[in-house]
Amino acid sequence: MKKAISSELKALALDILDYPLDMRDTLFPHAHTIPLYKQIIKFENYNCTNPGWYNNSDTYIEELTKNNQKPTNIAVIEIKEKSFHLTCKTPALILNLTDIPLYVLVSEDKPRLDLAYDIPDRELFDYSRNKITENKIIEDHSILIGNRFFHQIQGETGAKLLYVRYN
Amino acid sequence: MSDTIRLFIGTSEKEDFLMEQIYIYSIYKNLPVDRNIEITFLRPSMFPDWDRSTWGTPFTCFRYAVPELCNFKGRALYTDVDMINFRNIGHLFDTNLDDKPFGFVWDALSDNGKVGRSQGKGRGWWCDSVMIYDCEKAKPYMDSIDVMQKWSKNNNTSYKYKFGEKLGMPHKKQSKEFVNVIDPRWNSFDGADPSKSVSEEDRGDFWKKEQFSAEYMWQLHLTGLSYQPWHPRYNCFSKATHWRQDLMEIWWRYADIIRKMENERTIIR
Repeated sequence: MKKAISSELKALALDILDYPLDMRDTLFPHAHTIPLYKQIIKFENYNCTNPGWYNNSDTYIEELTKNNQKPTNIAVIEIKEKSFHLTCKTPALILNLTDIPLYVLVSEDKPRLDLAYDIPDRELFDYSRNKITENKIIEDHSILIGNRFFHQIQGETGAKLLYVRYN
Repeated sequence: MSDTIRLFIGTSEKEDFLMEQIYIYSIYKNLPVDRNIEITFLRPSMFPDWDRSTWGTPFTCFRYAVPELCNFKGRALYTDVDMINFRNIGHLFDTNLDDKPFGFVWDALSDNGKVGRSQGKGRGWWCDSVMIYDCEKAKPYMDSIDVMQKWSKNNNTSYKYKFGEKLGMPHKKQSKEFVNVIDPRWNSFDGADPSKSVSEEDRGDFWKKEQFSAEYMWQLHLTGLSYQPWHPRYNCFSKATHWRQDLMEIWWRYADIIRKMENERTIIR
């Protein structure tokens, strides 16, 4: 799927990742992850204070609302050498912000996905035997995943993505 | 008194990198060009044998090492790293201590620890995130670094409270023998006046605290770890939005300047 977000939001996401920060968040160990928005039950929602986000968050949240579902979590991520994404089953939008491809592996079977963290050769790996679908996401393209399947994001060092969850 | 400002900054190994640069930038922005300053970052790697197991940050008790690091001579200033300076820090360094060994801002909501609770004392104690030391006069109140670095391991508690007890914690009146009060504008807690108290039920409500405008405060202390906009990795799973967006606008503006300086490779390392 192409053009899931506006050029303004893409520019903002890349701009925020460009600060000399090295932040972390739960689903992406070792990756530079900046949460922009988090819906928090029984507490005030989290909003990143970067003025570009903070002053326009309502517009961007509206833009990322899919099928009448508002995002519950929005983050921008830069993949580092050691980083990985914890396999999860949350409805999500994954958008590639750079020309380094992302690979979103999808399966009904979590243990099989967990075994696919370290694929030595994507061409040789037998996805169908492992009941995994590999989705290659190129720049400005995205994938929207529902709550039926587990997903796991893989990418090379330097890849940047916008990750939106709808749980 | 030496004209050179000796500033010690408590910080992490690398998790507060951007905040360090913002703080230093803000200090130089307000410092007259003819005033000398020596800045020393107090990082965990400087004190590899120090047991840090009861601390809230990677640098909590390094501040008490300052007089010994200065060979108990002259004046020194300590601050945490999570600060933005808005006024010539030389004015803070030059504060009249009235011949006393320490200068602190009063924190009306500070926890007085077990001793305070056992004596039924309410909140309120000197805030050690901005400290002025007369190192020679401070010597009788300081344990050696060797003693302090084993303190957590031997006592299962932070040395912070031991230091407080040496100054008479929780009794403000007695402690004034050793402590001179610093203007609260030098240590504004997240934009609020730390020296003003609020009722116990309002303690958790930031907006019930008396606020300083950015123009009125002299030094902002982003003390609420969860609310720090750079969310350091030692507190990475607890994130909240800072209450004062006007102050966050300043933080991000300075962060942008640092980023541009870094891109130009002119950053101070």
